[in-house]
Amino acid sequence: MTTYIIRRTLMAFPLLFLITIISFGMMQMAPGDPTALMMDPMIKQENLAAYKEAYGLNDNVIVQYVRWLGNMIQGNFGESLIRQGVPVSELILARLPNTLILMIVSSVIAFLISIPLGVISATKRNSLTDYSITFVSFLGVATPNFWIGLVLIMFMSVHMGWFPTGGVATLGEPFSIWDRIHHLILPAFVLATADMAGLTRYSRSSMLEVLRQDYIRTAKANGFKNGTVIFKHGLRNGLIPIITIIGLMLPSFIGGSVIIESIFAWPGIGLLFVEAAFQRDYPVIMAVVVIAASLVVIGNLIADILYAIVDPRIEY
Amino acid sequence: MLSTILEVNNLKTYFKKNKRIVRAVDGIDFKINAGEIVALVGESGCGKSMTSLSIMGLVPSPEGKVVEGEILLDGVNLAELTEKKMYKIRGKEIAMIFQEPMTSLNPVLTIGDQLLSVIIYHLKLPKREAEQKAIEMLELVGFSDPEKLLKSYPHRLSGGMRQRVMIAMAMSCNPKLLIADEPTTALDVTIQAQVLELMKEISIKFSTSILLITHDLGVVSELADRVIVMYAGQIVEIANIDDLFDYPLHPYTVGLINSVPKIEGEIERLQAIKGNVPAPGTIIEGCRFAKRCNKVFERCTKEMPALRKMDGTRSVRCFLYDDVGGE
Repeated sequence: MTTYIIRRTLMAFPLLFLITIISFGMMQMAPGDPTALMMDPMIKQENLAAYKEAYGLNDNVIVQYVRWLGNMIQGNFGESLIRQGVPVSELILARLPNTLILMIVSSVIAFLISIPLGVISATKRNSLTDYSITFVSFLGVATPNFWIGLVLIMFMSVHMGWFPTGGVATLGEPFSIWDRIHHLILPAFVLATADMAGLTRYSRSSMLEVLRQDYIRTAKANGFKNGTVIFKHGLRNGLIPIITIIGLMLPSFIGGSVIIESIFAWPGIGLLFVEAAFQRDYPVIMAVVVIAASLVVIGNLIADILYAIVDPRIEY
Repeated sequence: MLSTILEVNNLKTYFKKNKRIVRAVDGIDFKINAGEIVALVGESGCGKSMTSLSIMGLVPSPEGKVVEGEILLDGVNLAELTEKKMYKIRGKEIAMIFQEPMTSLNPVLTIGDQLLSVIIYHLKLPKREAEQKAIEMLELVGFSDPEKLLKSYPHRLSGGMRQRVMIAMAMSCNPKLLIADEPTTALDVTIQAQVLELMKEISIKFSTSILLITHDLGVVSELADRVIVMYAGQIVEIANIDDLFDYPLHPYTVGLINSVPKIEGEIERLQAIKGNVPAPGTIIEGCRFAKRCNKVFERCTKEMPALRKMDGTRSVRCFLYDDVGGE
């Protein structure tokens, strides 16, 4: 197991390396550079040139990449080109906890709602309950979650005033847990909707498959109650394929958080990424890409480890 | 007079399939006495497994249902019991082992988890005593290192070992009746013999009755005291084991026996019964076997023969024996 984890971690490095090359290349190909957006249009050409020279923007792309990579390996993500003098790591560290909280809470919401719905759907197959859950799931798959976000803001926040329209806490108020939670509910729920529908469907089909198995019949023949059969003998087997899905869902969570953070003005790395992308703030963009890619790699590794814990047949 | 453990009267289990009604089990009657091993034989699709699931109250619902009849276990009609009461019958009064030992144990729980949970659930023993009982049962079915086995997961065991674990689990609450649904079909021949031997021993030791469901007449001759032959949802013949092999009455039984390869005698083509089992749900006028029968005559296609008692132990459903003995 330990050797497996070490091997997987080592394998992640070439992958991350490739990801940085691709993102760096794509970013350089995009038109414009930081100077085009931040500078006073009346600035003298020689000052512009001096600025570019100072930040190394005139160098060959490969030289720039290697310089960035060299710094990054030493743990130095550089300074923001736009917020001059502010280290990127400081920007990231200020934002990352917000994103992690949002992602963790919304994935917990997604699991707590989807998996039970999937199980209910499977055990009451072809009933009205099943059809209703299926209908709502498909509706969920078909609805873009930014739209759900906008509708909820409109209804729950603007019309009813139940929730704040955005942000992570009420400005000017002292820190309070309740206030944080109050701000968290809507964005976390909306981010959860992105994968809830799919997760419900996967849980349903996985449970249906499991409930057909011979060992379920054995459990019934042993006289165990329906609940014991479904939860003790069924669900644990049914969760095995779901774990894989959870690993695959992580990128969509990170991608989704970029959109949801923008809609809810949630100061996380998603919002930071959007701002940085518009301003061509190369060091910030690259830092967020590296972090997001690492999260995905780590998430998949955790999924694989969980896999071995839940299913005794798997050994690494 | 032996006491009757199980008495099935006019059992009918129907299925709804594409809005058509399939009569999987169509009015069967039989008895199983204490300590007796009764084999239920017939080709695939004749209703053997549905009979066993009906007794267990595990007919897949809502598409299947026991629509009529009584299933009396020690005088209690199981067909009328609520699901809640059946929880206390299954696994305790009637236990069951299945055809596929490879998949019949839960892959994510250890043998100990599965065995202990049954013992604790039905016998309400404290954990330590339950563990003692589990070890005892595993020794009984021939495992030499039961403590270690309790901690193993099923994928570490071979098919024969798993079937023995299933038998240990089924027998752990000392049931009155053990239903074995093709218990040896998925095992190789040497292991088959071991498992059959074990079942026989256990039946004697615990004086448990066994309902053995199989299509393998070899297994029947090894184990059974009495045989019930089913065809298309009905019983066509009931006989003691020796009578059945010595002089089978129903043409279907004759066909089944002739289609078993024999070691002695000259090598010739195996005699298969011509045709196939009628697809479930087809409505047949007259005798259900008439189309495949080599002794068919006119009456067979018009009327359905009744299951007639020939003498004390024997019944047959065929017009050929209409004028022979009986009541």
